[in-house]
Amino acid sequence: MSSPEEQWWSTRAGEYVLGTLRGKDLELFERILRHDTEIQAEVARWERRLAPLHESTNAEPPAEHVWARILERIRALEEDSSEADPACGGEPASAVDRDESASRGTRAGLAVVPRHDGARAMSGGSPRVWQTIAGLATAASLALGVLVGVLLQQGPGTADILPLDVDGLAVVLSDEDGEPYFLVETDYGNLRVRVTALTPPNLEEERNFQLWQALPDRSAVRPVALLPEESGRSRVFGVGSLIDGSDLFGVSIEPVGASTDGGPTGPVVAHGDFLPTTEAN
Amino acid sequence: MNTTPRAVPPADEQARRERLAELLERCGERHEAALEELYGLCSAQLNGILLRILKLEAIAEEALQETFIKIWMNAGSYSPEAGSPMAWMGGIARHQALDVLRRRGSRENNESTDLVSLIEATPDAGKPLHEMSEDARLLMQCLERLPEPARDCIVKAYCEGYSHDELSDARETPLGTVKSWIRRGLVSLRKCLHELA
Repeated sequence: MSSPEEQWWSTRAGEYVLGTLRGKDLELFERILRHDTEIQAEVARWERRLAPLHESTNAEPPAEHVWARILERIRALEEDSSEADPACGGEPASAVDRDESASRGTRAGLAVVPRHDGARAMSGGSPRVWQTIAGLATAASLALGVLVGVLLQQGPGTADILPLDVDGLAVVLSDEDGEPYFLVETDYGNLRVRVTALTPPNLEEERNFQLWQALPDRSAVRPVALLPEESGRSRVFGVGSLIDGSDLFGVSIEPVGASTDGGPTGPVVAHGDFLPTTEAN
Repeated sequence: MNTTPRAVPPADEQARRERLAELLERCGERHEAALEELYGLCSAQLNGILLRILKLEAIAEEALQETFIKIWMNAGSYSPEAGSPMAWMGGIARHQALDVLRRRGSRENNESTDLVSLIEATPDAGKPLHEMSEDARLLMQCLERLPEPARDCIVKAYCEGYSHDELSDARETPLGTVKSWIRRGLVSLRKCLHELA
């Protein structure tokens, strides 16, 4: 029996093959797919599982001129590639290849969590403010994959991932459907957090995302910082304190200027708990 | 003038699969003649896939061109782990068609496909289930075990490129319910195929 996480990923891969992933879901999945060989394998398995449905497709010979156009285009492509890269010795240098190689740049010093490392479900005993949101292990994994994808997709100089001495802890904040909104990484040594917006929802005017950290016994929460809203962007915050031993963060939507002394006043839209980080290869 | 390539089909399914794999390998090495033979063997089936999703011949033609360009450009990366050559190429065709649908934002008509019509539409229409290919037989058996809504949504999505929203509209069912049908259906399908394999 596969784990819930594997099943979740398998279903997502199946939806991708079906073609029912659209919009932001599709974009995120394809970012992960480019870099995650396990997901690539699961997609291939779904392609194999469903491919027999093609057997039921009536063969429809295409018009005569289609082949001539294809031939014309591949000859033009080959000419372009040999002119653009005479040293390649005739090896293919397709647009797809170029896109992929351009996206493979790595960012030194970035802590990346492999998809299957350390994801764990939330433990019980949450205070009531957190109780309405479901367990998030798979969403956390997704978000970390997304982060990798976001970083690798963005060319040098365009990413806004700021340096931080991460203490080896990260937390992904996701909504009740498992959609990852933010990645939070902590630097306990310097009392700083780095928050990367993954796929936060659009905010109404005069609203902010507010990050909270729960006390270790989860009896109450403390405000940490306001969060960025633009996907792929990060912000480093100095914070007055980080609660050592707390493994639960959450995000609420607050009116601009609202007092946060007493806890969230608006809806809690995402939460998550810590994952151990490992260094990227 | 370049006329449509004609190719003599291999004698049986295994021979066809092996030949297609060889042709893909040679396409990866940039042998134009290999693409020509591949086109002769597969273009009608791939065009059928595209037409079923896109409905209009002119649009399907464009998509077929793009499909073969992608096959040519990516043939070097094909490996049997990615599935049979036809499954791999069919996947490229499907995703090309889905891209077209997403760009256009709508489909041309609402002709629908269900499992029965799929079986009846096969080149071997009327062939008993046990005479289908083993993979097809298992898939049909597992699809038939699914609740009708899940089966219908999965087949329409795969064969005709229906989105969640379109399925929701077509079935006059809330979007969340449609998503749930599909996800549960995929879980059951995976389990069933694993058990029967």
